[in-house]
Amino acid sequence: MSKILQTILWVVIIVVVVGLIWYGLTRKPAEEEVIKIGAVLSLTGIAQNHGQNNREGIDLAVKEINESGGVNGKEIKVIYEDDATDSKNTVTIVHKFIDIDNVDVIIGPTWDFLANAAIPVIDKGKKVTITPSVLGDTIEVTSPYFFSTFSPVAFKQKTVEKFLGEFRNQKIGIMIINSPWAVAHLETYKKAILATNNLLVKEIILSEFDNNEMSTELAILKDLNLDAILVCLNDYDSVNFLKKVKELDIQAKILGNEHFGDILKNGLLDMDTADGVYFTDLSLPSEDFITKFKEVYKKEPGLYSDTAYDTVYLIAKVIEEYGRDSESIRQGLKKIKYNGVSGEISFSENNYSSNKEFELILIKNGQFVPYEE
Amino acid sequence: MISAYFIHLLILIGIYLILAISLQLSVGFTGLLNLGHIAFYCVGAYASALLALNGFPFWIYFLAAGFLAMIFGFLLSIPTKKLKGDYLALATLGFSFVIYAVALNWTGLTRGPLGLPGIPRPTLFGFTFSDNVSFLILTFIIVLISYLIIKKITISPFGKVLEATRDDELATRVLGKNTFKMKSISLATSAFFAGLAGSLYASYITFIDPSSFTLLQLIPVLCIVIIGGLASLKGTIIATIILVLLPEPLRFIGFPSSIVGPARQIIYGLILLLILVYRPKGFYGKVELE
Repeated sequence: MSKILQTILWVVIIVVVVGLIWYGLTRKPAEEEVIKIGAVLSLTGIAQNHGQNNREGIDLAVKEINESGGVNGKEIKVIYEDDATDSKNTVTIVHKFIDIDNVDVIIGPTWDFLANAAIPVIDKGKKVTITPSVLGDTIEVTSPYFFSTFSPVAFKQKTVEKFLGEFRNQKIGIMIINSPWAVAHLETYKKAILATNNLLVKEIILSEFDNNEMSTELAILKDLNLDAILVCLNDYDSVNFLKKVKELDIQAKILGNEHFGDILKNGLLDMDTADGVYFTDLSLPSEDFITKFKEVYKKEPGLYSDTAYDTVYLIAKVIEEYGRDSESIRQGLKKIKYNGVSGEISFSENNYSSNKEFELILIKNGQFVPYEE
Repeated sequence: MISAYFIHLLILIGIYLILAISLQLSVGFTGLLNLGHIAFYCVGAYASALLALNGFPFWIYFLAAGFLAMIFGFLLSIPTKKLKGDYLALATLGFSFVIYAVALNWTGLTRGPLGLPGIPRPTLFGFTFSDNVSFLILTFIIVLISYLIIKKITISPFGKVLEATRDDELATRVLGKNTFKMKSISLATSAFFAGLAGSLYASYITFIDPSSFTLLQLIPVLCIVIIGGLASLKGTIIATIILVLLPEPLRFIGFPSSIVGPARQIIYGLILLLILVYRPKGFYGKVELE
């Protein structure tokens, strides 16, 4: 090991120590004058795309609110923590937010199994936590302090029925990953198939969260000559799936989940490959939001950016109207109706957003076209 | 008053200590490059959680977690008895994937990806370890007992035979020692303590799902063993404390939000690299990893 490299490594350590001292010296006076939000997001690891989308939405909303005078004259400060998509880290970070940072409210976590591990700590600490990206009915552990601004999967049933409406007694296949979120989709898909008098002939559950090798499974689905395939996949699986469907020339109609839209917006797949494919998603965010987002980030808003943006505004509104302590925020959230860029937000008895409907969107000629019967 | 955050970190240190010193027994003292340790941890966590959720008392589900993991450890040692080094690492890694796949797909037993919520905290002699301070005390009693047993094993004549097997298996066999039996006992004992750690983890977090038992979860434990130094329990303890606590001060550095996650991970990695540059055998390592 050369002396230069050793020097560089020591410099890094010194930076860490100086950073700590700097933080210790500067944080106290600021704390009293700001609204503190702790954001526990998956900024690295398997859920990093969604965590980074969350972060972009949060940053944009905080910038706007602070530039327009803050909340009751106080600026919002966000403390970001990366859980690396590891539930043990999520629990540690929630402890830190509650016990060390004493944040007013927490935003996150990014995915369901991370939330399930953290909710007991959130409940014990009585700290209001709002997730912009966990779908309400994928939560296994409940708490009156845990809220979701994304709609539950069960709300997709009508949209899926709309897609299946043109079929009767036709052969339908389902392919999902093995996660709580996808299992909730499986149940919703099955109900929709039953309600539209179609036949579920094959159900495939892939073994991993993402990056599955699915050639064999797709060959099986092709051999069944299905009329439609309903899928629920994460980002890289969605890319892989759509490429292979084209390669294998599978003729069945395809219905995917909101990640289909996200991979196309992020440029992970070209629109031509996905032409003719349908997917379900919340209504597209408002034009105003898309324009503002593009100005700042020079790209389309990703999945869960709009709900994260709305979550910050929702917190600001609740604190303004109901107060800053955790109990006031919780009570306020139960009463409030907020019209955000992702749609109207109000909370059901189970604390998930109860007013947002999913849309059926067709990818056609390089455009997202809302399906009309 | 110690903050709940710090108590939480101490509990994590305790759980990692049991995992790391037990892995040290198989990797450091016996020379078995065992990447199946996280699977034993998983077996212990699930066994413990399922029994606890079905109303079994703490001492039964806690010991059952250890013994079930021990049985798996012994069973794993049979087909791998002739394997060494990289080949053993691959075989035990395969075992980890099998256990993970079972946890994920045997939904009738484990609820698959939905996980097991609502695992009760331990109750012993009518006292429930519901708050984290009492759970910390319980954890450290178990850590102390585990450490003393493993220490006793390593300084015993049996432990010396394990080290001899690690250094020169052929010579040990020439001296009349059944090295297969020695390695099996070592792996099974190591698995027993990993099972206990899994039981503690499940009782503490109160929710487990397969994502807590992937290969990624093994990497920090393996890092602790290597940085602490092979065949050194003292080094393992120091490395556990450092590696569990190290990410925490990094959280207080004010990076811009767009790089906060990756930047902290890079610094964490660089610090580990620096340690290994100055201490290639870890803090108190007696042997080098082959």
